[in-house]
Amino acid sequence: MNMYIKNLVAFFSLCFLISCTDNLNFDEINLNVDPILTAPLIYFELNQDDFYNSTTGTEIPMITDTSDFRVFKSSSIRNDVFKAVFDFEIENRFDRSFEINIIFYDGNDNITRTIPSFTIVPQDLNYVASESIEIEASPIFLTSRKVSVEVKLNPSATQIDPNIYQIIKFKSTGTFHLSI
Amino acid sequence: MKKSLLFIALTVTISLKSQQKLAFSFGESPQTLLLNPGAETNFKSHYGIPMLSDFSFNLGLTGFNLNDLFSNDSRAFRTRFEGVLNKINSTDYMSFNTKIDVLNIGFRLDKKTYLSFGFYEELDFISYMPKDFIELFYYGNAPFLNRTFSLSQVSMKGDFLGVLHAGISKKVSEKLNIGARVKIYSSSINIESLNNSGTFSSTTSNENIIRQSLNNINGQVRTSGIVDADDEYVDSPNEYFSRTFLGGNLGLGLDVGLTYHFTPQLEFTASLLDIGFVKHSKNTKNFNINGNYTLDGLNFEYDTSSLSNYWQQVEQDFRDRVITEETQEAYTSWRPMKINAAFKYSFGEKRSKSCYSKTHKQYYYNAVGFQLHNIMRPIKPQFSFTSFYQASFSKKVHTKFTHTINDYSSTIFGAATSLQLGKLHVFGGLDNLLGVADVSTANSIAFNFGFNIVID
Repeated sequence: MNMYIKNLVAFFSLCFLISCTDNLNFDEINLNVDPILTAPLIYFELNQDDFYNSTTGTEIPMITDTSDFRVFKSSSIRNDVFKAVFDFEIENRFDRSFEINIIFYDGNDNITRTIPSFTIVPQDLNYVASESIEIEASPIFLTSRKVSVEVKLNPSATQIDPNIYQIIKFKSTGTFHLSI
Repeated sequence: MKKSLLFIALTVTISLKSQQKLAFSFGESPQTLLLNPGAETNFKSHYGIPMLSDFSFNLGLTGFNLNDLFSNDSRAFRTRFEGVLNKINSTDYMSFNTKIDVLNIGFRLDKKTYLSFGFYEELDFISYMPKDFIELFYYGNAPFLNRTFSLSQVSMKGDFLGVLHAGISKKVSEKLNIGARVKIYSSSINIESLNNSGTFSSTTSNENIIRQSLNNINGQVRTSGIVDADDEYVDSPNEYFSRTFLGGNLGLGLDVGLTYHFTPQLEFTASLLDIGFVKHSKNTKNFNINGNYTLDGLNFEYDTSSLSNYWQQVEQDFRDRVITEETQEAYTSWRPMKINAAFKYSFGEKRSKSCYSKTHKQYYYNAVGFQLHNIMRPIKPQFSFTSFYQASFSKKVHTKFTHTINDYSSTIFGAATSLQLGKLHVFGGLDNLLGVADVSTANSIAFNFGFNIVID
């Protein structure tokens, strides 16, 4: 029995001794997580009467709306974002052309970024545009806290008729590239 | 920090099930009483050596192994990680269980009755791989338009508790032996996130370019023992340990089991373990989230008469529709019930062994059989099928060789031995002998040992 026990002990010892984790390398564990997050941003639909002052019977050449833009209020986003991409889709069923300006402001209403104007010709139903902002080149963009969208009705001989249902539809998303 | 977390998570590659597979239906070991209170015992009394009477250590991971992530080749770690992410699915899991017998004593009350009692500490953890949310965190939602991410994949449970137990094994007839064990659980830590439901998706939309939706979100994380009465996180290991000695949240459990001899050579054993619960009422802290939400973006209205802060509206709307809350409500946590069953056919040379009270037990030197082992886990039971061969080399030396098929592998070979060295009984088992040669590629390796003083 003693021999058996010795053999048994030797067997289990051998199992543990030969147990190994050969060919493993724990030195190069360097995992950068680079998620790309996308979210819907601003959307609206405007009719002809949004550009018509019924009191004076005249066109309104430009309308503007503004909202807080709190994406960069989070310090973790500010620290990790390296690129922001804004995509736009615009459908213009008006018989007039428009100019759209998108402007970002900081908390003191200083402009941090102006997206180049879009001019959408009449009946352009598939206008698409994209603006990419490299944060390294424009770090001030991270101070953006508000965004406004101006919609300008370009001058024309054709007058707005509020009784005719025609719309301009605006859609946008923001896509943020992070490196964590 | 990231490295540490990865290391901890990924060293959990070795899956161990040794205790149940190797010790179950291995009647010469006192430990078998903890796996089957209805096991037959052939000794007058036993006294576990404190802290060493039974130690088992189980680590498990399905879906990949260490080599998949840390192989020493030219590929970037990121490439290997993405390969692993691609391989796993939401039913893969990481599990960990260890038990240390602090005290274990048993004695024969009469010819038919054996009593045993003791106290052990147990740490048990399982987390399924929430593949959807790992990919969402790793890649972001942009590459996955129109894909649904399911919160139900988030499922985990962790316990650290002490168990005070007392059991009885009773010989009803020559054929039947039954037993039961009552347990009082004292939970020091419980963390669980179970039965979550709901989805997140980013889909193309008519309203805006994309729409984000949270559908029927119902999630919860329940904890006890992590924070104290002042809502401060407990950072004292001593306090965690002291609460396992009846100072934590208490619960009640029951083990039952039997051994039945169809013939002197054909034996059936079965047990149900940890049919029980813990009522968590002290130091609880729970997090809940419920609701539905659809985000199309900021809907500019160009209403000069009533300027809106659209972002604020969206945030408020989200808070109104998706309710998050922290509570300190009491809750009940069920223990993971285990089911064991084995058929054993004994054969070969027939010997007689003197047992307690100058009686003799006849036994065979060889046995073959199979056993089933099942643990009830949150998403699905962990099931193992084991075939085994037992050989006794003398009255005091017994061995068991096993082959197991389970979630981890279909080629898990194990060996265990039970030795009687004077009054000292030694039990040791090692599972997945093939995997021991290179742990990095193994999905299953195990060990289990115990030292007890056994009086025949």
